[in-house]
Amino acid sequence: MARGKNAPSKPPQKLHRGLLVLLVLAAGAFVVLLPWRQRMLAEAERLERVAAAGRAQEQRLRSLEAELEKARQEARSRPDSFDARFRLARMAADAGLIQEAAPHARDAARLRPRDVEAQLLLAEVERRSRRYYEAVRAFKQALRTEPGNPRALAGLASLYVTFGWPLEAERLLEPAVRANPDDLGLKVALALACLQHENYGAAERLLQEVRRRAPDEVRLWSPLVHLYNEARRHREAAAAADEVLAKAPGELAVRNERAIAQFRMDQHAAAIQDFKQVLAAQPGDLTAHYYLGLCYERTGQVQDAVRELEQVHQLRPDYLQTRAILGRLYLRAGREAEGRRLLAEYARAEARSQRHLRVSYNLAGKPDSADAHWQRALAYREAGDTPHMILELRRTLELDPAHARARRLLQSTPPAQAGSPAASGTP
Amino acid sequence: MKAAPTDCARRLLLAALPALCAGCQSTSSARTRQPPATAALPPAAVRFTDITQQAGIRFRHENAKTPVKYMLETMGSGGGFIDYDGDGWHDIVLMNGTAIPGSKVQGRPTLRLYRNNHDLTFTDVTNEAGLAVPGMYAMGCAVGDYDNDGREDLYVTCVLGPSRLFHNLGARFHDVTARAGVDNASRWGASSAWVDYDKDGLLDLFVCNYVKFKSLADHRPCYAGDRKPVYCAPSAYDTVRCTLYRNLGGGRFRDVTMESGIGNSQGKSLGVTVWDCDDDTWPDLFVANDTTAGYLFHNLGNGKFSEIGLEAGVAFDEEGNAHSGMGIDCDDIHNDGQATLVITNFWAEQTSVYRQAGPNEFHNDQSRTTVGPATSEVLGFGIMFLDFDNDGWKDILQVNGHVQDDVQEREPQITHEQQSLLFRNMRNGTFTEVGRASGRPFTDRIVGRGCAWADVDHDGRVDALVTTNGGPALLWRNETQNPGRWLALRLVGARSPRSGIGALVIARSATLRQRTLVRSGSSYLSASALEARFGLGPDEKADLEVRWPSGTVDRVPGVRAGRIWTLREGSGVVK
Repeated sequence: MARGKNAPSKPPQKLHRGLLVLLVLAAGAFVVLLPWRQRMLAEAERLERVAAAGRAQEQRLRSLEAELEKARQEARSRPDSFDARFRLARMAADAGLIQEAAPHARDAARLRPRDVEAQLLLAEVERRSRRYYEAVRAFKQALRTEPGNPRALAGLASLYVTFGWPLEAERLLEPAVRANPDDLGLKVALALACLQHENYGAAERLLQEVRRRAPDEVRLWSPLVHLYNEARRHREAAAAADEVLAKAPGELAVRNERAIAQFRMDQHAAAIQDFKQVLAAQPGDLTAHYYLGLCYERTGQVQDAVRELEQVHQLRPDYLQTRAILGRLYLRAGREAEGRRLLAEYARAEARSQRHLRVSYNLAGKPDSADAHWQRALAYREAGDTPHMILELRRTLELDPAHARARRLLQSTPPAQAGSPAASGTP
Repeated sequence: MKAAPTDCARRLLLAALPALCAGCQSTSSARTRQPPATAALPPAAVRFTDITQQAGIRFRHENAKTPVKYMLETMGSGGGFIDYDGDGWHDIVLMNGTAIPGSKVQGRPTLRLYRNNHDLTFTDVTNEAGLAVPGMYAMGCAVGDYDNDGREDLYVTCVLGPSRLFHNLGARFHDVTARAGVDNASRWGASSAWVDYDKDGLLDLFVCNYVKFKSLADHRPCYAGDRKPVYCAPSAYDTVRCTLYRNLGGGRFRDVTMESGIGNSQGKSLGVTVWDCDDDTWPDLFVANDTTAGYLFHNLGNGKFSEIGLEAGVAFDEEGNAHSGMGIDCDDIHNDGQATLVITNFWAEQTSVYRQAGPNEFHNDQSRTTVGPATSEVLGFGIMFLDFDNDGWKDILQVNGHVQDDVQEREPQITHEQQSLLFRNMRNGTFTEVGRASGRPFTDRIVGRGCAWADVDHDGRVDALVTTNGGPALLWRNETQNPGRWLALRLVGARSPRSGIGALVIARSATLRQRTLVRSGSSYLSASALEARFGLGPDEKADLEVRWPSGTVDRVPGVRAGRIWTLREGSGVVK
């Protein structure tokens, strides 16, 4: 009887057991496949973000294109009109069409050489065309017309900083800051020059003053975050970044800086979150990709790290550090040949970079030395950077018009190609 | 639509967790070394006392400061321990600068040698020992018996002139540089190390060279933002090769830099430490480079080296940047058979810590060990592993000091003089900084450069010699209360180098298995004692195994704690 009573319950038990086995197998398979699936989802999300950003950009461009077309027609119908040239140049520059903007900006500046706005626009266009010497000339022309123009001062100084001429920048800005003690923008520009000279104390004093006087102008004093990171004061960097981002959450450069500080303080989860947020808004941000890769490497997610760093390497193959880190990651992942190739490239490039670093360092301390500029020109030639080489050659000749070798090299160099904008978010 | 599978996945994952964790547990317990019995002992109260004055060491480093600010003024100097008279007690040798144009140097500074009087006092014997050689701008030194005559010789690296080899004739030195051919071609020599790289029983010589700077004419002016002259960063100068001299015997050496492969790499080298990174018995060389990629010269065993720093993972920091490498050391500090490498760095760059993950493979470990974050606000120079409480786990001492003497004018929070740091090995892969509670040497600020260890009073506790830039040399006596037991081993090579350099010593006691390599070099410009020391915690004895470079293996069971023992190669007994 007992058996008879129990008999009907047997098939369900078998069924349960079977289901249980299936469930366990499914769970096992799921656990095995989970990382792969997560990566796929993450990749899908990333691609979706890239596509969305592309669509938004496309829409913006379409509406700009219509206005731009109007400006083109106007410029064609009124070839001697300063206003028409200026407007077209401005719009084309805003649309990122630097090659189109350049001739109109030059025409506008030629038509009204004493128009400060025209010179400032020309400076911007020349800078973005990588005709750096011409950009400097345009800024200087603007300053001849209006010596204290803060935009011209700050623009020229920031150009000097990007050239690695911080003493030139300081020389330009210090009297201007003294003459305009209430111009906070000039103070920030001077701080950036000091920062490049690793004069952190002076840069901090300036930026803290700006912060004190304009606490709500967070964008203005946000370079303080970068300064703290450069000085490896990461806690202060993160705290300053928190303050900026609370008021200006869209400041992606500051978000990157905060994440870098977090990365360096081993707060990897927080850093990853910030970098992902930056990439959601700006998928091509190389700083975010690079440091996200480092975060993944530090947390043992080698494949994710490789993916991020490969993107950086693809977009900026000249960025030395990526080769070093990626090469090591390839070796760890068993991709011996690729790893060794990258590391060998790194070693070769590092030797070149050392030479470049040396001449840059010497130039930073001796801005009036024709030889220092000439050496830098040679370093740029070795690195294949023609626009900067031309800049340094011209500066050499400015300081020493009899410098025959500089003149010969300049004469044998074809003009730099215009309109090659630098990749965004250089690490 | 996306939420459902995710939630489901989470539930399934949670359901599977207990089973997964069971697996994890065994893995993690296998990976995490259980604290040994010694962990039950309360940590010793660490204490160091500055005994420089009472010891009679009246040395002040002459860096020959000038308004020009030549870079060499801020980089020196070093010093170390040498038993120059062979009495078994560690004497002290200190490097010194010399007058240079524009400096206001009084007298004729020379390096100084202090004889150990066996009672914690020292006597200046520089003149009698023949080391009062004027006109040398000395940087660092290496101690080793290059001619196997039983007396420790001295190599002194210099800038602005030839480096020097002083042959020990028996408490008196003779400059044999020219005959030996080891003047380093007047390059700017920094740290150096004696190493028998070809295992022929003769010590060879490796010299780090810093930057291309042979005379003051090579100086480049560098300025701060306020246009004041400052000491240049190394970026202002060209890279150079290190130098390797092969000992030919008969007191002669040959420069084998290029043929050995060492010369294939150019950098800005300041520190060198020797270790066998792949257990193939051939000594390899780690080199700390200042702003260029660090080296690991892998000894191929055929007289050649291959530079594999990049592949090994020690060439740059976690962000792919070259270190500002100054001092360096390497040892098996976790007692797990794997090496740990430390490299001191510039202000805010943190001391780099690499842990060996396999043969010639290292992973960055600076955050996990906590040494990295704790060194954020110093500019590190000398660094060394030493077991200050004899618990059997090597600790770390690091000395610091900025290179710019006026840095505070520009950056108020940074000082020229900086505190030294002492890290206790917590026996679980991490360290705790204990300097502030370990006596005045760690609360006073100095412009630290070199550091070296030795037990100067034979009390079993390892003491420290610290050198400063433009200041005194300091002798810090270890007065740690209730330290563990210890033993020290001095080696006398027969087929191997006489001073024991290159011998791997393994000590197995009841609760610990330790190993170390007797070597010259390490730290910054400094020379530590040429002996193997082991803290034994509560253990009363240890079985010793010595693997000599010649291939001879000596095993001595049950060696009692509390003594300095001597072992002659091949004898199998300690005395």
